[in-house]
Amino acid sequence: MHLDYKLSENWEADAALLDEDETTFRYRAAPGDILLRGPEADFSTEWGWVPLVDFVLALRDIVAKLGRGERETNFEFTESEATLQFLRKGEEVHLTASYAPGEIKTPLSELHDSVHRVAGRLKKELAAKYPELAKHKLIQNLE
Amino acid sequence: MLFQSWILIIALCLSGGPLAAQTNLDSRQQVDLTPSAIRHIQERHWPDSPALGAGKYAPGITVDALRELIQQTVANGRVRQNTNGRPGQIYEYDFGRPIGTRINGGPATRLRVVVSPRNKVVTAFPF
Repeated sequence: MHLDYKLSENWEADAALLDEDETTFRYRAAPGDILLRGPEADFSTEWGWVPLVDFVLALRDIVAKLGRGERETNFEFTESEATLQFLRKGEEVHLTASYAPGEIKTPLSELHDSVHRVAGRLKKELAAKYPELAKHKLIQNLE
Repeated sequence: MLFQSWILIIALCLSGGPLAAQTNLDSRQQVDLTPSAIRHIQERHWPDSPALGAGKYAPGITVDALRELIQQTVANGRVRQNTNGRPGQIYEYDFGRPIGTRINGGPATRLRVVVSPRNKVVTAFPF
């Protein structure tokens, strides 16, 4: 399984975002696309608006739930009805998407490591490109 | 007569009563649609928005019509907690008629409104 992200090149961070509440920050900060594919399916987006801080925080939450024994959980995209479904089967997680065919199977440990690796990279990239924005507690807590 | 009045008062209290129902409705109706939220919605969901993978409002939508759709959804829609650790609530209402298009291009009859704990509209889109 390959998990990564692509930060939108058109986005200009607005300092006013720092004064917004947590929900608004999650829906607006760092838009881009997710790259998510396996040998038999590609759930990558080409929408340009997926808020990446929110995506990483949500995936971290999902991995923690699956790790605690929850069998099934969903990721809801912020600006559409599209979803990703996560189904735990033993030590594996099976991913499906409402907007693309196929299934991605990955060990839970690999999903965990991928999410934390992406979180670290995103935090570093945001700190380099948007140092003021990166002071926000949600970005600070990415790792 | 006095006894009957007390029975009526107790019955109203037990049923929640018209006053309680009105209070609940009022708290649902107080959401704030800021200029920033309007811009956010227009950038992603307006008929001429180039954003892919996002529901779109039907041509002819205006900011006043958007306010009305949001108002109706918050007043009459199903409410649930936001998901994936996001604070706030999600309201969804089926208008029973097309109000826009879904991401697959089909007609959208429902509206989803995301509201923050400060009662600010974060986004609102047809699906």
